[in-house]
Amino acid sequence: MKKRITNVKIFPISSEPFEGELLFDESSILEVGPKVQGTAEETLDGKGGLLMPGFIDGHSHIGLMPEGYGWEYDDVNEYSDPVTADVRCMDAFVPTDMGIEESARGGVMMYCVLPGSANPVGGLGFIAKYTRSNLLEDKVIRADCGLKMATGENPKRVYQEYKKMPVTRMGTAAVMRKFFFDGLNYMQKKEKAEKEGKPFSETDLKMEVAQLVLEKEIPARIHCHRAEDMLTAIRIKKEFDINIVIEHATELIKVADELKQNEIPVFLGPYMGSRPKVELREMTYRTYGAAEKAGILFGCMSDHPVFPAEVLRIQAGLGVQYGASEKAMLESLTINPAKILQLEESYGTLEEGKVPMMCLWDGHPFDARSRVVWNNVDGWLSR
Amino acid sequence: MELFKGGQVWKDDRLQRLDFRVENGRFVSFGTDLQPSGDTRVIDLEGKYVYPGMIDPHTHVGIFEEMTGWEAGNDTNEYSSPATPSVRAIDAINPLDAGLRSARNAGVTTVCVLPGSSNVIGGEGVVIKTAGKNVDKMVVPTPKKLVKMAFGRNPSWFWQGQKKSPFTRMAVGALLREQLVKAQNQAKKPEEERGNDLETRLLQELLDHKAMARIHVANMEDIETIARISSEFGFEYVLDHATALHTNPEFARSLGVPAILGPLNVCARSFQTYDLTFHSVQILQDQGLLLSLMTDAPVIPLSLIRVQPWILARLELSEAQIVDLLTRNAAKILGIEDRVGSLSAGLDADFMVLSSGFFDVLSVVENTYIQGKVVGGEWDEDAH
Amino acid sequence: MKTLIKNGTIHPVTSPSFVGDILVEDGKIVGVEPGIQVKADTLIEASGLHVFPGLVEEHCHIGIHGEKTNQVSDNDVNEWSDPVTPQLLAMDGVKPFDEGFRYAISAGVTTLNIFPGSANPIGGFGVTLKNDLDVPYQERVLLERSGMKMAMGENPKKTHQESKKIMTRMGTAAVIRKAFSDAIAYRKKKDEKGFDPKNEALLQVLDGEFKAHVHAHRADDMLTILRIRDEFGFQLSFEHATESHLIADLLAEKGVELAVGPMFTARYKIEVNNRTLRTPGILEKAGISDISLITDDPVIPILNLPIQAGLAMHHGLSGDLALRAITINPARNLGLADRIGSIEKGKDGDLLVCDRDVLDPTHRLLFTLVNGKVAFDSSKQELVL
Repeated sequence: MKKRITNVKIFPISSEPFEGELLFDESSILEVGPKVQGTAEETLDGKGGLLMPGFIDGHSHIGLMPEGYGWEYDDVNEYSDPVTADVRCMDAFVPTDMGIEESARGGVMMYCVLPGSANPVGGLGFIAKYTRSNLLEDKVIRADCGLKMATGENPKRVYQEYKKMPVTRMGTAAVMRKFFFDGLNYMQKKEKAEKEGKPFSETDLKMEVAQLVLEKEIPARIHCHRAEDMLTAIRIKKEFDINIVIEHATELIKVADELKQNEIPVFLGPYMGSRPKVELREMTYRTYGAAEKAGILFGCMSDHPVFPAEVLRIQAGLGVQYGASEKAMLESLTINPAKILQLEESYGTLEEGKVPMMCLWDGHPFDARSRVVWNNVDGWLSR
Repeated sequence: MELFKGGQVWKDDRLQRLDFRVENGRFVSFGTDLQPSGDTRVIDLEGKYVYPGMIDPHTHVGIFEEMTGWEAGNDTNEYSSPATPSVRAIDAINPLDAGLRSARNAGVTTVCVLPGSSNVIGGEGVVIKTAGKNVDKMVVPTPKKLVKMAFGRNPSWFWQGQKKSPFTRMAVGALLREQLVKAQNQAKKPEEERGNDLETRLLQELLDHKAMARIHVANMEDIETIARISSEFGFEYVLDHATALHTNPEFARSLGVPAILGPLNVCARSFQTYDLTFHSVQILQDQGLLLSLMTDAPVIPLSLIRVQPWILARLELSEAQIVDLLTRNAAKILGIEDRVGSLSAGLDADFMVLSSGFFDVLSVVENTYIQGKVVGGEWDEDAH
Repeated sequence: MKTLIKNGTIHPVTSPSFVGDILVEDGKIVGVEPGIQVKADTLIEASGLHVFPGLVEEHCHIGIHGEKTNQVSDNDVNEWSDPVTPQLLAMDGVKPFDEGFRYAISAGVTTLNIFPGSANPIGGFGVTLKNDLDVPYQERVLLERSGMKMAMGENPKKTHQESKKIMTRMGTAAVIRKAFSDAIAYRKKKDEKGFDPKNEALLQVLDGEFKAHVHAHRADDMLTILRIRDEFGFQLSFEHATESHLIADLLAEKGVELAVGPMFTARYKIEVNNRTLRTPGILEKAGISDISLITDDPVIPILNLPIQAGLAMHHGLSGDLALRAITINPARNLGLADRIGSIEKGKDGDLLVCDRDVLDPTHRLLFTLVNGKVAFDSSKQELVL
């Protein structure tokens, strides 16, 4: 069914905002402009609100620890072993987590869900969109979209207790490098078997994931707070010639040049709250502005439930307060994450041909008083 | 040869006044006004009711023994490792378990005994008749072997407590996939390199469609994970408990796999049983699923097997639908409907004689027959 | 507010069944007879249907165990930090919005007595609630202290073994005797030491103000408690009384109240090896009629309260006592027989309307009335099953 939204200020993201209209059906945006030509079966009066793409939360653990259920329902980290590459957090996701609907009220309509950061090599993430259906199969946009990895204090702290490597940052790096070396050996064995025309009888699911990363089918999504951790991540990227995205990048200001030179995209946040670990000492909202200035491709992340995805847009607003431009912050919630997650063909802007994933706000999302009054999944939302 | 005369016999989904012959442990024929011949023994069932012996497709009787306290008789879970595919329930069954005795006193003639649900892969289950002293003689062979598996928080909580992977439900999924890949790897090796394949044999049979998985699962998201992994590797499965399956009836219908529901007559004491309800039987029945009911004995003792059907009678299910849950449907799911599950010529003469209808709380199990012989009844001092 | 039930088969329990009417006004039964002609706010046409008193559950843990959660956060059944906790009130642990209360309505249970668990030899006071979910929690309380929960047998041992406070049955008995002796000593010295809630609670039991409800499965555990009763003197009800049928004559002689059940569990611990549905029938034959039947929800779901009673009739329990055991007998055990447990003028308007005998497990519950208000109406709600 074709629908038309009129009387709205459209933020296409790909261009400057303008007063206009948008025509769409279930699968695509058909027309967007000051006035649309096509006919619609239903017209929605936007009442002067702001129409924006649904926000994309680049790094979340939503559904892995459903809210209100306590530690027994925490499936975020498989900390039985430092290398759990073949674990898919999709297998632990709980679609009825109350945080999902609440994040939609905060404008977040898509999220990349990743395993936690206890493990140097944590497991596979997936991308899901907000739907009314509670079936995972209806939510998943892309399964196995990246391999979560982690540096810094978390892996050390977890494995110290078990007296297992890593207990230091060097150990973490060694574990990661061993994983990739093992992957290269595995790929060689496979090649050899193929050349000899023999069936390969040593399939190893962990190594299959290493192969995906080494062949650049999927990126490594590496959790780093401190500058040296980011440099380690870059070093590993270069050593194995893999694609990486850096998560959090708390001390980005110190290594902005290296990140830019190596064209490393980043997901920034959450910068809200206190600094309970040493590696968070330099945490600041100024990081957003610094990334913008350095020309680094950056998206926003909530790290839900560390901070609720519902307030992701408030964090973005704080980025503006601390020096980033409004344009850059809006891009970091929309087209930038789409690009980093390789979804920009279909998502991230309000342009013809893209998927109509969008929210209508009664005020600017960076203003805490504003709310989503309509989205393409729920329709009109009551208070 | 025995001739049972004058009873109200449950056949073709209703009670009918029928006589029936039994010879060599099987039903020979059913009819009206059958006459004895030669040395036929006649048993008068005037005023009595005859139903198929009941079948419980998911129990732990014999391996989780009653009356032996907490430890000595409990052989349900081989928790030395979360994946124990070489373990077989048959090797732990004690045929003299009080639980089996009270089962046959209550009219239960066939049970499927499964390893427990602490392990992601628990081992091989087995179907047995409820009477006998030598378990090998009690076995009812199934066309496909039964591989017990468990998903969700039972295994993940248990193993977190044991400080061994899997700690999380995502690792439960990964473990199953790794075990299946291990079996695939074995199959790819040339014969001489396979070595001792005891640990992968059962899963190999699963991948070859010579076995089916019986998967303990409660939450909908875990059911989806099972569907995902089974379609990735291509194996057949049945959902056991399937507590939340009814919350999405269309999805249940599209999955189209059999489900063994229950135990329903228990208190919902965890978030896993949040969606536990008797109404699930009605909802899934309406979606055309092949359903059966379980006691999960000894969670609910088999002596009380008729209580769940009685409560189900409060809903809009027909008597035939309810009786089928514990007879014909259970047999179908196990693949043994050519042997048990209904009163039909050629099938084993497993039946129960009640003093009145199935749904009457005062209806006493007067005798339980397995292959034409009385094996128990409420006259036994251990009944109830 | 008037509620009139017309033309039903009425089973008052304390008098013969008949076809007739019941008039409830402002929560109390004011008329029980055929041919009541009164204009009522709510009229229930019960022709062809059966009317019973609301069922009374004498022993459960609904509200303190936490339905649908099993975490430390919600399970408040046992204060196992100390084996002797007579000063505790189950009333303080009940979660008023717990799902379990709605299950009880669908099960036809209108009054519930909620005890602390059996981890402690002396556990604390139970609370009796009317299952009226329309009113604030405190207004549901019929008895703030319904009796002192105590326990013998495997549970106290198992609970307190690790902390090495109790290792054996004789240890359990010694703990109980010491507690009572301490209370007596306390009474003599009270002015010196000041008010002590633990000892005050125990004195209330010794003085007969509250009954001791003692969890005991095995015959020898019951005999131990009888011995202690002879020594200290207190009122007594045995809870579970699993092996009571093995000492039926003795119990008849001693005149003890029995709350029997649940008989639907597996024999998963040694002390319940002799658990059997035959128990109530054997007790009745021995002349004991003061029997209540209990579910101990969540050990078995509360909807089994009448089903247990019906099934026990296979083994000699009379239909008459089966019905009494889930209505007037538990009411009397709790000291509330003047208010609940039968259909009589002056009693609370707690009524069930079923399509057949409530002891028939296939019965369909059509209405549950609590305090004269419709708490369940099958035409408007689905049974919580």
